[in-house]
Amino acid sequence: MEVLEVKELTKIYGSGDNQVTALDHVSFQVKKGEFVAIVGASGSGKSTLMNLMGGIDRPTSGTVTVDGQQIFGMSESALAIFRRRNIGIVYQFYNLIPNLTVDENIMLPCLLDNRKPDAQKLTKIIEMTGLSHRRNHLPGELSGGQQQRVSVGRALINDPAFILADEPTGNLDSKAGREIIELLTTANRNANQTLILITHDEKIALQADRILTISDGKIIRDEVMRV
Amino acid sequence: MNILCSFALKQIKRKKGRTAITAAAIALSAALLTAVVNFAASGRAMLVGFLGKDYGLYGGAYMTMLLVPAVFLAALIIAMSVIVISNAFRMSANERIAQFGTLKCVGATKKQIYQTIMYECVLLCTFAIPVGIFCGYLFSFLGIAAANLYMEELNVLVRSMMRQVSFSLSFVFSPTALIVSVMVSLGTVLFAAMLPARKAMRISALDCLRNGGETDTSGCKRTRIAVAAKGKIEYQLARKNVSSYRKRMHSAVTAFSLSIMLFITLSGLREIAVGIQDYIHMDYGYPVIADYTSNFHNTINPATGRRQQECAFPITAKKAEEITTKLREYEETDIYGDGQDYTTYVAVLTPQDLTEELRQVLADKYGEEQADTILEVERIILDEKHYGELCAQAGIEDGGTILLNDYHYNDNGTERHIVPLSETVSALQLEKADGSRDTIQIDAVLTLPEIPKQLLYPNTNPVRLVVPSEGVSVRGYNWMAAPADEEGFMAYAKDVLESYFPQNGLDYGEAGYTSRVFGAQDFAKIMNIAIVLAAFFLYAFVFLLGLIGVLNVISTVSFQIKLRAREFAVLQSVGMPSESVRKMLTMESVLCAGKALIVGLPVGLTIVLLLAHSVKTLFPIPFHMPWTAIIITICISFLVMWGTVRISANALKKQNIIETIRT
Repeated sequence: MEVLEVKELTKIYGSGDNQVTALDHVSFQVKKGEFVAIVGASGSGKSTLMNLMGGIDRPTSGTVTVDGQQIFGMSESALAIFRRRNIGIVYQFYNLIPNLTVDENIMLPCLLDNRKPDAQKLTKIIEMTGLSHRRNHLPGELSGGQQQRVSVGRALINDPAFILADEPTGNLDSKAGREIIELLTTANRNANQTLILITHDEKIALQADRILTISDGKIIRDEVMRV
Repeated sequence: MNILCSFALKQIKRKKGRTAITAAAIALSAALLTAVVNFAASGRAMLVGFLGKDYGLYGGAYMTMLLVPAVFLAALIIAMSVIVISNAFRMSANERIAQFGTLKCVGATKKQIYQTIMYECVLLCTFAIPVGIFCGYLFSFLGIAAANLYMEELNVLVRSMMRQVSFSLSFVFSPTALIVSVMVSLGTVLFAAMLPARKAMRISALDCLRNGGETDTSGCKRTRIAVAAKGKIEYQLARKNVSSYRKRMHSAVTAFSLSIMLFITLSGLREIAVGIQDYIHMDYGYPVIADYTSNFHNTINPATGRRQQECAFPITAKKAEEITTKLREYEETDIYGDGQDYTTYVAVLTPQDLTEELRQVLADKYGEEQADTILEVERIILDEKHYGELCAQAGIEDGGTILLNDYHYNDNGTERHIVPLSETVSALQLEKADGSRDTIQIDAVLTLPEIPKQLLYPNTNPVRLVVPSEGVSVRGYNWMAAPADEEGFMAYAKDVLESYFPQNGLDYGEAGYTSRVFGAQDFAKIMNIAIVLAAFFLYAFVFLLGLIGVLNVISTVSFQIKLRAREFAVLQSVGMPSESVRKMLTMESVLCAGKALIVGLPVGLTIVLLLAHSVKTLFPIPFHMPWTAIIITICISFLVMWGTVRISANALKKQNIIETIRT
C-alpha cells in the first residue's frame, strides 16, 4: 500500500531569463514502512522535493498524494493541520523552539491540536530517544545530537504517514550521526514507520530499502536495495 | 495553559529588557490617554459647576473648546502609540520568525501564528494597562492639584474684573471615563499588535526558515551609494547601512520626528503666547484702575440704516469729575480720569483730509478708494486737571478740541504709527446715526511724541478728538490711580464706586452697568497664569509622549544592533577593528538623528510659522524663532541616538566573533 505518491512534480523558480527549474516532472511512489534515501549533489533539487512532499512549499505543477489525499488541493490552514497530524519532519539544523523544554518540543504537534499526547507514548518516545534525564531541559542546554533526537521524537509523536528527514546528520559528529540514523531506522523497522531520508552520505543511503538519485531536478536512478 | 499562550509568556520572560520597554510604552500610552480623558471629565465637571447642568447659552461652544483639544491630544497619543507599540511587536515577531517557520512546518496554522503575537500583546496589556491607568489617574490628580495652586489666584483676579466666578478643577473619578480609557487604550494596543501579527502570519514557512529571523527582506534595500577606496570606510559603510536599513529604522525615526515636531510646535506656541502677553501688558505708571461701563445694545437707525449704540446708563462728564474728586481725596493719590465714546459720531472726510499713508492703509483694508471716507470718531474726555494740562501743552485755552493725530495699526505683525489726517484739516464734519451733522473746530493738533502715554492704547480709531467735557456723556470711564497704599485705595475706591453705582452684589452687567477696581497688572497676571498652566500641561504631555518615542528609539536601535551582530562579527573577522565598528555605528546614529531632525524640525517650524502668521493678523507681535527649543532638540536627539548605540555596541564586545558568525 502506498502512503506517498509524487506525480509529475515540477517546481520552477523565478521568471523570464532568471527562470530555474528546480524539479522537472518528478514521479515516484513510496510504500508503507519503506525506507527511501534520496541522494544527489548540491543544488540537484533534493530540498525542493522535500519541501514539496512536506507541503511546506507549493509546486508549479504536479501532485503529491499522502494516504490517498492530494495535499495541494487543501487550503493553507487545512494543509497545516494535515501536516501536523500526518507528516513528521526532521531538519539538519534541528529547528526546535528554544524556549520549550524537551517534553514540550516533542509534544508540540499535539499541543498545536489542543490535545495532550498519550503519556505512555510520550514516555516511550523519550526513552527511545534516550532523553529521560533531560525532559525538562531547554534545547540550548543540550548537545547537537540530543537536540536532533528531540527533533526525531517530535516527528514521531503523531505516528505520521511518513517521516521526512533532510540531512539529519549533516550538522553532527559521526557518533551522534550514527545514533540518529539508528534511531530513525529503529522506528522504521520496529514500528513500520515510513522513512524518507535525504543525505549526502553514501553509507547512510546504503542502509535504505531503496535509493532515489536526483540530478538537475530529475530522478535519474531508482534502485531497490532490499525488499 | 494553551501552548500559544505559553509561547507568548515565555517570550515575555526571555526578553525582559524589551518586554520592560514595550510594557512601559503601553503603560505610558494608557496613562496619557487616561489623563486626557480624566482631564476632559474634570473639565466637564468644572463647566457644570460654572454654567449649570445645561451649560448655559454658550454651553455648546464651551464643550467644543473642551472636547476638541482632548480629541486632538488623544489622536496624537494614539498615532504615536500605534507607531511605537507596533514596532515593538514587529521586532518581537521578527526575532521569532525562525520559530514561526518551525511551528508552521510542524503544523501551526496562520491563525495560530497570529494568536501567538496577540497573546503576547494581551498578556502585556493585562499588566501594563492597569498600571498605565493608575499612572494616568495619578498624573491627572497631580496635574489638577498643580492647576488648583493657581486657580484661586485666578479666581480672585477674575472676580475683581469680571464676575463672581469660582473656577475649581476637582479630581473626578468617572466610571464612564474609566471605561473609555480602558477601551481606547486596549483598542490602540491591540490594533498596534495586529499589524505585525498579520504580517508575520502571511510569511511562508519556507521564507521563515530561509531568512532565519529576518522576515522583512524588503527592509534591506539595494542602495546606489558605492563603497569606494577613497574616504573613511566607517563613514561610507554607515551611509550605506542607514540607506539600506531605512525601512527597519522607519518607525524609530518617525516617532522621533513626531516628538521633535511637537516640542518645536509647543515651544513656538509659547513664544507666541508670551509675545501676546507683552503686547497686551500696558504700563501707564498707574498700578490701580477703577472703571465704569454701561451695558449697551446696537440698533440700526431706520431712517439712515446706520448702526447706533444705545447705552443703558451712560456716565456724564460731571458725575465722572465728581468721582475723580472723591478719589483724589484719598491721601497721596493722583488720579487720571478718561472716558471714551466711539459710536456717537462718524467723520465724513474727503480724500484731501487724509494723509497718503492713511489712504493707503484704508485702501489695503477696504479696497478701492472712495470719494468720501466715513470713519468712526473716538471722542475722549479727561478729568479737568489733566484736560487743562493737555490744553496747556497744546498751547490753547481750556475748552478747545484737540486732535490726537496718530493712528497705530497692525501691519502684518508690526505695530506701525502713522499721521492719519492732513495738516490742512482745521475742522471736521461729524455725523450722527440719525443723519444730523455738526461741524467741530479743531483748535490744536498733537502728534505721536506729544500725546500722553495714557492715551496710547491698543485699538484706537484714526480720528481721535479730546473734547471739552461739558454736556458730554460716555459709555465708560476709567480712573487710573497711583496711590501710596494700593490696597487701602482699592477698598476706598470700591466704596466710592458702589455709592455712585450700587451693584448690590449683582454679577457682571446684571445691574445694567459694571464698576470694578483692579490692579493694572491683573490682566497680565491672568494671562501669565494661563500661559504657565497651559505650558505646564502641554510640556508634561509632550515630555511623556516624547518619552514613548525615545523608548521606541532605544528598543529599535538596540534590537537592530543585536540583529546585525553577525554582520559586525564578519566585518571584524575580515580585519575591521572593533573601534572602527563602533565608529561606524556612531556615524549611523548621527545620520539617523539627522534624518529625524530633517523631518521633525522643518515640520514643527512650519506649523509655528503658520500659527505665528495667523496670530499676526490679530496682534502686532514679531515672530521669535524658538532657538532654545531648537538647540535642546538637536542636542537631545543626537544624545539619545548616540547613547543607545554606544550602550548596545558595548554589549557586542562580550560576543565571540566565531560563535557569532556561526549562529
